[in-house]
Amino acid sequence: MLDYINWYLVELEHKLRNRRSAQATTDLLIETKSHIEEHAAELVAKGIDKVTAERMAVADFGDPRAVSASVLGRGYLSRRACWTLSIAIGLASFCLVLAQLFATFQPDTFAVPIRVLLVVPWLGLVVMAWIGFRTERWISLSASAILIGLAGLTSLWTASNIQLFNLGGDTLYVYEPNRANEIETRVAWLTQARSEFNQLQKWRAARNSVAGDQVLKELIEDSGRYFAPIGRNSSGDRSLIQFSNRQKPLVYLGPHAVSFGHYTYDQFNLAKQVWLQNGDQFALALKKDITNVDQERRALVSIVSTPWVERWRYIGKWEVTLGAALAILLILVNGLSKMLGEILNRARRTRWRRQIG
Amino acid sequence: MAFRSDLESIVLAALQEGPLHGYGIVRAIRGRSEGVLKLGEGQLYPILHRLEEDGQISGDWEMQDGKPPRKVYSLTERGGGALVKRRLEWGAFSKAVGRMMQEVPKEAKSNA
Repeated sequence: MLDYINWYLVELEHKLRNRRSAQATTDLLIETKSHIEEHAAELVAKGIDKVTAERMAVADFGDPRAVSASVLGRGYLSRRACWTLSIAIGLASFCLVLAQLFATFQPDTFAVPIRVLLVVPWLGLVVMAWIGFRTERWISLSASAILIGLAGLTSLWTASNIQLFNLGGDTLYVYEPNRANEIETRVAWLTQARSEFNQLQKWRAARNSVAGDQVLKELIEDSGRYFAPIGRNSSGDRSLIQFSNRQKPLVYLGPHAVSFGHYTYDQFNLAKQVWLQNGDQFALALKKDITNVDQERRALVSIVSTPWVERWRYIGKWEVTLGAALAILLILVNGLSKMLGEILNRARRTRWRRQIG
Repeated sequence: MAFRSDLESIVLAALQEGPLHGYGIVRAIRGRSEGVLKLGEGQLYPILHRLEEDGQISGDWEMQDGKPPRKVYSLTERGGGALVKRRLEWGAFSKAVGRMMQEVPKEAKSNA
């Protein structure tokens, strides 16, 4: 036998679920059940059969949609409206994330608006997920989960990308934190090596003069890291040693050598002789290294200066994994369970509707 | 003067005779209005809950053997005061409408 009262209660509960407190909904359902049953009993007492009496009592109580609308008050939005709203908010939020990325790529972008913008999409996506949850729209939940995952990726990317490097007067945005250190190292070396090279050229032009000696002194003090006597330490590693009375070969150490200092007047004279013999070779070696390092630097810069779409390739694997895991987790936990519940509920309601005709 | 034509006054009036549960209120309204006022039964509960929140009525759960519990509503002091006020408003309003609805004598029509 068809249970009209239960059908009605399920319908009403479905329309109110998650839209007011569970306690208030339960109280209303108990009152509704009591009301309809009493009304039906009264009709049965008048001689109407039970099924018809229940049907009439349910009909007198009113359309569950109208009742739920009345219970929820004027301020409520229909489920469809909520769902549409949540999708709109989610898409708008995601567009903001993309806009944020585009804004980051602009050379005259200010940091503060970017940071403010960073919060807005997240709030939007949370609102979308919340509305999806409240209205039990699994599509909204799943979409918000995916968008949160994607926004997570883009935001991580954006947050890790705001590093600026000054290369020869041009401001360059570097979007790849791992490679940024490499570029920074090369830029630092290039800046110093170029300065040393200029000094070396100056010295070569004025060698064997007092002015040349002064430049050489500065050069030895400043650029000991590039030109130094070399020997082997006790462990056999190649390392820098102090100037000594014994003439050591003065060698060009190339980039990234450690700094070197401390010498005496005699040591300076010794170094000067070596420099006079090898200065031209040092200049050539230094120039060659400057060119090489500059090429390396340009290669790195060209990597990070590719169009924004290309840069997706450089997102770290852990970022991808984190974003994807977050999205999958949310979809699995919320989306699928809600979807299953919705499908079962719809099937049950469809069966009832068919039976009622 | 405008009388608030909502159902709250009618519900408060139904409860002035004593505590009633939801369906009892429907029956009281139907009975006292001799079937003229037909309340959408499902619409009653939001009104009751609103009045309860406002402190004009109070609700207490009543347990029943073999049946679901039901909530019995009774008029509070505040609700009684509100009912008196609404009754006065309604009296003035209905009197005014009654006067407007009275048939105008033929002599008066010709004088106008």
